[in-house]
Amino acid sequence: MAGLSKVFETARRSLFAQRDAMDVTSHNIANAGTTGFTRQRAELTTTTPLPDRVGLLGTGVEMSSVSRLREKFIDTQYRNTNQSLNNASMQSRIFSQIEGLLNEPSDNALQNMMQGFYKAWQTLASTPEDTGARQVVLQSARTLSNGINQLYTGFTQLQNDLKEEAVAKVDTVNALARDIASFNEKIMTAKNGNLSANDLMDSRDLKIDELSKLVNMRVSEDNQGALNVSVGGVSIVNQTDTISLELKDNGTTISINATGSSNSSQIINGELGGILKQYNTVLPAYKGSIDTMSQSIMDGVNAVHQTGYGLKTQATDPTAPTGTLFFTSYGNGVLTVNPDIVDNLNLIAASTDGSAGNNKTAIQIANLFDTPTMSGGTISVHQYYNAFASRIGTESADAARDEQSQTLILTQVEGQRNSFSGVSLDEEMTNMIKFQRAYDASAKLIKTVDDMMNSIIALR
Amino acid sequence: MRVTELNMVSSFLNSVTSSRAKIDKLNKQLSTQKRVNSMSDDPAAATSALRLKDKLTQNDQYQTNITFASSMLSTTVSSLDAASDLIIRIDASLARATTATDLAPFANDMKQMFEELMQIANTNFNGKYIYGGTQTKDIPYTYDPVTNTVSMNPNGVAGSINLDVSPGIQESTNVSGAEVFNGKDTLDAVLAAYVALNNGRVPTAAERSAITAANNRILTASVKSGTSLTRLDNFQSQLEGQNTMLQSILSQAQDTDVAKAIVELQHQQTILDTSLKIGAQVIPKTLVDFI
Repeated sequence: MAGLSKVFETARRSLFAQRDAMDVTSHNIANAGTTGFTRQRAELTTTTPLPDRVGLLGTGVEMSSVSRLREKFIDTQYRNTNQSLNNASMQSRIFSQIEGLLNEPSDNALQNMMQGFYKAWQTLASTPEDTGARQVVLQSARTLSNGINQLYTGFTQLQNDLKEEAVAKVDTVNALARDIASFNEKIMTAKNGNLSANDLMDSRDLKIDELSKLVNMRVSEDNQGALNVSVGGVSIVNQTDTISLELKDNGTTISINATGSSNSSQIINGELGGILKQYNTVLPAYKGSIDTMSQSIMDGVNAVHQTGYGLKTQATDPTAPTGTLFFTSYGNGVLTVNPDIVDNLNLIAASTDGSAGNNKTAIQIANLFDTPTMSGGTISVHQYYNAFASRIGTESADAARDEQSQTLILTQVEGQRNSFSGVSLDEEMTNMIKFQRAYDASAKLIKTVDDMMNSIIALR
Repeated sequence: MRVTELNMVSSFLNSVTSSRAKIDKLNKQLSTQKRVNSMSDDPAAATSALRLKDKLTQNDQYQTNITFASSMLSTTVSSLDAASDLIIRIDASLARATTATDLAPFANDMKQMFEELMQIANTNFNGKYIYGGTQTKDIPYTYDPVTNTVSMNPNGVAGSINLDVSPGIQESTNVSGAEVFNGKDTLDAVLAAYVALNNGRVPTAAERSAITAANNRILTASVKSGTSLTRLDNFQSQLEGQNTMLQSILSQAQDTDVAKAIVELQHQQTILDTSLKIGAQVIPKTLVDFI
């Protein structure tokens, strides 16, 4: 009798185990499309064998645990690549905004305005006695000054936008840190009670993936199952504790610090790293180029203009006006045309000796276009501008190329992750059939054992 | 390798997205007819486009200058021709006066011709007195009928006005009164002839030869302007030739090769169609369909 009831017991355990395994399968199928879900596997193991007349006899099966099929190495690779990719794509996005502001090559960008300015002086050289030509010079100077200003303030505006975006991203980082800490708490509790925390771990990993989009960071797991996170060298999650970050404006640059501390986080990767690089390095350099160029235009034109003569306003004037500055100042993208000239076009100097038909000053100014006056007298203003535009183009193309190659790597890594951790419906369906058949067979076993018992009872 | 649904979905999406991105780019190139729409599309080509446009703008400006200089010089040449004709008429009239008995009609005639010459000397074109040298705004010569004298602009009538016509090359756009009329000598000579006739005296041989000499100066100036005009024409056609060449290089640098782009577009469309078709066939299939 003892023998038969043991079979009963084995079949019962099998029924339970197959049902539990089916449970895991259904969980997998249900989450086949869930972001961040890691497939789970019912670990069916044989139960402890018992000694019998013939030796150790098996006692059946049980589901010992549910394992989570995840490869830490792939996760680390994924996060590192994700940081680089999002850094590159953020920079590439900002570069396309910069290129939008630059708007070259086209017929209504700064190059055209600069050409227009120097052409106006050629026109003045043709008809130096004409007010119309002077009006053209003034208008073209204003257009040029507006163009410079638009580009410069465009860059400044972009920096302001980036700063706001950085603040929002820092907030996201802080929120993610709090989420991770709260998952840490739940997971540590579960582990303490020897409970499976697979789904909680999936959610926590997803948060860390999101964090890797934003910043460069390091993750380490401690022996209690908590993940500790540091961002740019500053620890932001320590088990259940968090330290929040904040954006600090240092005047010309911005940095990310731990709140209430001068402890600066070295963020060089992820979207936030991209924003910081553009704000602190790239855009100031471009603005510096505009400064250098505008200053050179102003100095060059003024130096010649001051030596030239304008037109006598009255025929009775003793001499033609001379020594006038054409531009009065340049600073922060504002190139100011001398307001006296705006009031009196006759102050525009075209002549080297005060006679109305002399156009030598106008020609000299027009020729500044082609004269190497910049970078120690090696390149002209327009060559400088072309090099500036070319630099933006090259840097932008580099960022776009970087983004492309990082995308390819991430696709590869993501493929590996999906291959290892993703749910395969074919596999789950196969498992389902497998467990179903085992369940059927176990039930059949119980029925058979029952029949056998009946047979024994009927013997009496 | 274990291939899951997620693998298939993401590789399907990747191939469709990258096809679409390429099609979008080609579409933009075809609709704008420009291969380079921003600096980063092709930094090298975009930079050479900027350089070429600088060169083209300069050439355009030189051409504008040449057109302006030509119009100034053409006016100068035709007025100089008129002046030369006038001097020949004056000379002929003086030749006839030597044998005439009544000088009064000759005096009248001379007065008229003098006034004509004054008009020519004060020719104003495009708001410029063309014989005023660089003093283009002030009238070069004035006649005072009371004292019977010609006075010249006290600031002079000298100075040449040049314009840039090619890189580093300037061409004169005027001949000054100083060159054409030797200051006011020519006008004085004609006026002297009139004064003599008006006083009933035939001008002397010396007075007549002063007028003939004046004609030589006018003819020299006319030839000089004519040569300048020819040179300007040469520069103009040189610049036009250069422009054509620069335009074609610019077009090569930044314009879309339409035929190539369309072939590529068709190729990409085929790839997209194939990806979509394969995706539609393969992705929905699982074991579920067969049990």
